[in-house]
Amino acid sequence: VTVRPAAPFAGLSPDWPPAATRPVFAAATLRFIEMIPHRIGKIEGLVEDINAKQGSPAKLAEIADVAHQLAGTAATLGMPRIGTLSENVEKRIKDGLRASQSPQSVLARVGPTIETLLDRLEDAYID
Amino acid sequence: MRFICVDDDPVFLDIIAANLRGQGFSRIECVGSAREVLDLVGDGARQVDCFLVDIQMPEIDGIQLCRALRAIPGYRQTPIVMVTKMSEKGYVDQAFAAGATDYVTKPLDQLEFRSRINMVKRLHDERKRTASLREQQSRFGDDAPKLDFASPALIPAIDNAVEYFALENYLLTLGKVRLFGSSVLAINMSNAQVFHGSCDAGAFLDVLGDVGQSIFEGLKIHQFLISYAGSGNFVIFLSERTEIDTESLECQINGALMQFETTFAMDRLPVPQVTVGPSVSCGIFTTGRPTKMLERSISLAQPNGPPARIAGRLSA
Repeated sequence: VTVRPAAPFAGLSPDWPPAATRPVFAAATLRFIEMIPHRIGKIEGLVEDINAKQGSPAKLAEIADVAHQLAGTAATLGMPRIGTLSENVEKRIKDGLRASQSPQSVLARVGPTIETLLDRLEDAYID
Repeated sequence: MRFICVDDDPVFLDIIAANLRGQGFSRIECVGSAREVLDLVGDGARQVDCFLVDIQMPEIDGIQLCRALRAIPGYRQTPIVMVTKMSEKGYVDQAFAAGATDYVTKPLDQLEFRSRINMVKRLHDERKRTASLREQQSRFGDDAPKLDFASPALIPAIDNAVEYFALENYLLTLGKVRLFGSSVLAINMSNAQVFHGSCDAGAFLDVLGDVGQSIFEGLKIHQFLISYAGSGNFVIFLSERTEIDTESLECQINGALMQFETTFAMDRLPVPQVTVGPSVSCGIFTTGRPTKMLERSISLAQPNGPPARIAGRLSA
């Protein structure tokens, strides 16, 4: 499937960012959208590794890092749902790592939220 | 003004840069790691006027970078604005202790960002004015203008020293509970006006450094931040609710300053003398701005009652 690049503000809430600020955010939004396939691929690869028992806490921490970046920018760019999901993923992974839980058990708990996040990212890209 | 922005997320760098351009700034460099920042400033080829630093970055994080920048003589006073997620506000304490000037949160609120950057610009302009005063002093000697007596200044060569307005920002970041566990005390240099009248800007700052060092020695078993608020007033923020024996501290500081007696005598100056005010704590039900603690502590440290400007604000 060939996915066409999204228009700069497709899929965003209609009233955000305010019209006057849209030129300010245009380049950042484009870059955010362009990076979505890479970020989806990265998260999926790490999840596969962890599920195949090749995972280490470091790989789980890498998922948290990607989620951290998404959480920092998505809400600013008018994608609050992606921002909230990313923040949940980051927090739950970090909590699990702090509690010294195995990567597989952390993933089992946070997996559904990661899936929803990946779905929302796909929507933002395809729209 | 020249900015360096550092974040491991290129999208957020785009957002920051776009906002700065929207405020009319054009000299903006964006880099993806703390290491790149240190490489850029390390060669000394460029003078940076403000750093915008993401706190959470791999390898060297924003707090470590802040500390490293403050260790470079040319960047001891350069504004460093930390960028952090709302959920990471716990790191802000460490950032201020490492020398940060201010912070903004992600998601970025454009109005808040604009006001923070405007504040940085004012600080930058004020610093330029001070630097110009020092330069004029060296060129014109006694005919050069002086620092305003009432103006805050950064105490030179003290590790825990922060700008007064950075200390105010820090207090504003603390929640009620954290503020409840802390205290503030002010130390008034009663003959500061004499030094201000007799010294050029550079020498006056050096005297502030001598007094600051003596205060530092007297409080070194505590965790604290120190700032010079202007008009001879030093303010100390203690991150613990502690009873300080102010009489003993006052003796200790004045005793330490007496060691400079010969040096001051050579310049026909008296030895600086200080009065330590009582520590001020915030009650859990106290209302009003947290920065009111600073004003109150300064007021209580005055040997002859609060200065008119402070008294006016306290009664307001």
